[in-house]
Amino acid sequence: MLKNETAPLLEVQNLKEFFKINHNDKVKAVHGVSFKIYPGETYGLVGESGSGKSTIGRSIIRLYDITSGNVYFDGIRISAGTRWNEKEIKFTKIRTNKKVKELTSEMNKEIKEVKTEHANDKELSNKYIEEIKAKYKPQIEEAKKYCKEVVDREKGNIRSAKYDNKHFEEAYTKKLVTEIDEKYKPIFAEAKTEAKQKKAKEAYSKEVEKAKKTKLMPQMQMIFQDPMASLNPRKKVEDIVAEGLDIHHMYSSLTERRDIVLKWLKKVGLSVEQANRYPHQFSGGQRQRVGITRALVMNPKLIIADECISALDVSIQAQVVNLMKDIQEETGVAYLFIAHDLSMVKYISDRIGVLHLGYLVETGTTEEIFNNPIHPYTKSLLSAIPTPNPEVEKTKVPLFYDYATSNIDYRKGSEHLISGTHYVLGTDEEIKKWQKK
Amino acid sequence: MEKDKVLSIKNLSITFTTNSGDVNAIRGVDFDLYRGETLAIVGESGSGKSVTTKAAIGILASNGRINSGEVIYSFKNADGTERPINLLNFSKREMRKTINGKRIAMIFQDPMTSLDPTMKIGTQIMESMLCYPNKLKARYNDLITSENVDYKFAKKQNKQDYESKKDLIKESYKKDISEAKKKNQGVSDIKNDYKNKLKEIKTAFDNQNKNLDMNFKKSKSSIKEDCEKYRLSLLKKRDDKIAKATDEMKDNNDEEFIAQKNKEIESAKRDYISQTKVTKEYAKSRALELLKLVGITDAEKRINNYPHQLSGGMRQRVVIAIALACSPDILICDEPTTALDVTIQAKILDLIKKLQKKLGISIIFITHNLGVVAKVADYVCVMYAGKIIEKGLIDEIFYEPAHPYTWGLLSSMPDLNTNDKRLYTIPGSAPNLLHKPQGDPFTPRNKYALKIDTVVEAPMFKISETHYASTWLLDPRAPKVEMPKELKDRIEKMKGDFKNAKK
Repeated sequence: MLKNETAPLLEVQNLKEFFKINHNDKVKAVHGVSFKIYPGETYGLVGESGSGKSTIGRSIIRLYDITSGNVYFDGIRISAGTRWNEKEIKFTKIRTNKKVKELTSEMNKEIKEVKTEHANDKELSNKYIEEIKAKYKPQIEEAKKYCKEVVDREKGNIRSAKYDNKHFEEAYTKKLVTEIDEKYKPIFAEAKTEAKQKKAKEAYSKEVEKAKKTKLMPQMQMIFQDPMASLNPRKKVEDIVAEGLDIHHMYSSLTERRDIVLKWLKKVGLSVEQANRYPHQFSGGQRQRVGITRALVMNPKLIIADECISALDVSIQAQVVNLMKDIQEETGVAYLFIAHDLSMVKYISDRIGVLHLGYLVETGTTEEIFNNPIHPYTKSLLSAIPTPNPEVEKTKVPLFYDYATSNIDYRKGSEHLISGTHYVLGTDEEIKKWQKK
Repeated sequence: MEKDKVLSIKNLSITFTTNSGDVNAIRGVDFDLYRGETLAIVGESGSGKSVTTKAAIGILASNGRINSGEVIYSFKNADGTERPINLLNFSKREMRKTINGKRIAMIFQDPMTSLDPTMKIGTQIMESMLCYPNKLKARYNDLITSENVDYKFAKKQNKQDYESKKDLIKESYKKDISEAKKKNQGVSDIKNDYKNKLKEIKTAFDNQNKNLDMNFKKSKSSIKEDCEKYRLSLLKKRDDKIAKATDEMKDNNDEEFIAQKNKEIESAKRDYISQTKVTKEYAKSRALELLKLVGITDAEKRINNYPHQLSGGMRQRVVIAIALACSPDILICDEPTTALDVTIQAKILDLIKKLQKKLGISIIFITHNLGVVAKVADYVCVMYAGKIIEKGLIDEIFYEPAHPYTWGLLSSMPDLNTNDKRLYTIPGSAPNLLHKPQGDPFTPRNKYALKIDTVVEAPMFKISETHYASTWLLDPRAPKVEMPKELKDRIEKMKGDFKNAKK
């Protein structure tokens, strides 16, 4: 499902997330991941525990400040990392200093030689020295100038990144207002009579007012893994669901608040009386439904589902997956679906990214990944899924993949296009070898 | 070929007392576990899979009450004799001393919570071995416990008999007296008669009790004697060896010979110690052996690690090693792979299967994932709302399922080979057992429910020698209902897959 004609809802560019443990060590959790999510589609992120799936989800929703890279949501840069820019500045400075030092030492050496050679004739030596200085000075200056350019550029980048990290909501409002402006331009031009113009102006100011109130971040919501742990045991379901509404003042009266909550509770298959119950009075599947309602009530464009079905029974998993698909059809919400089990991901995702040790090793549409897996890690993931077929299961030997002994270095690999939108990370020889098999 | 039954649960029923009322968690469960086989219990959460096994090894929550049933375990004594014993008659202390960990071991779901974060894993593996280090005492304990359980049970039954008889006599006495009063007759005769009768049964009861006591004392002393004899025989063996060696040493002056004999003496001493005691050195060597057995590389280094230094899969391997430390007969795996990734899950399942082949232990495998069941099980029980609704050999359950719930479970498994966009689901959720279900508890979720399902629960219908299912659809009077077409196609395809794989 290629949706190139529309702009991506979420764009992650070269995302890096490192965690400092102490002065010397850091955990490189995510290592240069890029992907796009288009409106109304589901992107499945699959990988074993420790591969950085959840870190990516949390970085996108700004629970972590990212180390490097950019995240664009609805066309607005919502978070940007500056670590690489800082590195660039540091190393450019070091490189320039080294160069300058070399040049000056060379210059001094030559000057010394000249001085010893023409020790008697001071005038001549001075002349030569001037010549040498004239020769080296522009070189040094050029190096310094280049350094300054780079530093200024990177500093500007850092400044803009820091600005964006703080002021993305304002940028979003600006974007909305310009959109409204463009929409009303022809209307204003058409409205000839004064009355019509007044009417148009009123409508315009109303929309602008509304746009100023809408915020960007509430449009991205998250569903967590353990439904019991993520719901407040002291609150009733109604209050849990309405918490986001409370924070962003999204209702004018208490009846409106209740109406909104009940509307969404009905949509996920919970009854009206259940709104007054506490989380412990629900079964696991129902609790997860409450979690989904809490996300949906904010009218989000993107929901990050972080292992939201892993803690449930298989039959309940199927129910929740079907529910999420129904809601997607109805509201057009996009999902970033994080899981470690490829079998359920298959049913909900349009596209899949396979993550291992912080690297996106294979990405493509669901059909591409399932019909033609290339990377050995993807193959091992697929072969590990148990099927309800005892005779086959008993004879099947799952493929095990061990990064340490496989002689594969993810750092050396680059993305290779296999077909359509199917990309695999690896060196040229590796890709050839895997494709042959 | 007659198979050897290790554990058989008969008509077990358990109730939990809670604030909001009694919950009938288990309502009559029957199954048998054979030696060297794997029994899988499948069901949704809350269907009572874990509770059944927990009751069997006596670690039920304190508000749980066992209403009826038997857990017959073939108890292998240290001297090689084997006899079936009802585990429900054991006290908690006896259970801990002779059964838990030693004969029946358990692996729990989350490896991080079942390991102690403050102890090295080597110490944790050695812990259960060093818990009762005196082997002679343990041997005595084993023998006496099985005797004691029978004795206590007999005594209890005797008392119950006595009480019921007493009640009967009391009732008839009251009746007689009231009748006599109506007829204005004297009651002294009746009273005397009543007193005599009471005395009679009391003496009978006392005699019986005395008999039981005597028998128990006798068997106890005989066991004691046996144990003492065994100890003396071991001691004699050692002393004989030493005496022989010293005798030979007297006549010979060759230094090498003397050194060799000294070595023999040493080894005899060591043998005796290893036969009577679990030493720390032995426990450590065994721990290393176990770690290697469960597939942990550099066991010598890992033995000094703490749980947080290991990955999830390694932790589960350590938990398995702990369970195997005392070489149990039965291993209960309570969702051992639910908290793990699919790739790690495949590895752990492989390991469990290999261990079973190597050690010949019986395994009860509790899970909700039918894919896992297909991989490990020989025999499957499907549980729903505290009851087994279908049981059979693995091929029978997967290729010829009979109960609508099993159909639903099988259909809701994701299939990698088809391009369906929607998953089949069983509508609704598991019933709340607080309220006694009217008829079959699966009825509200059952597409194929008949009228009788709402009134009476179906009995177990026999399909084949090993395959049973509890659904009215199997009754000869019921309308012919086939399993859903999608599932039928899928099963046909699975059979085809198998044939292809064979070729």
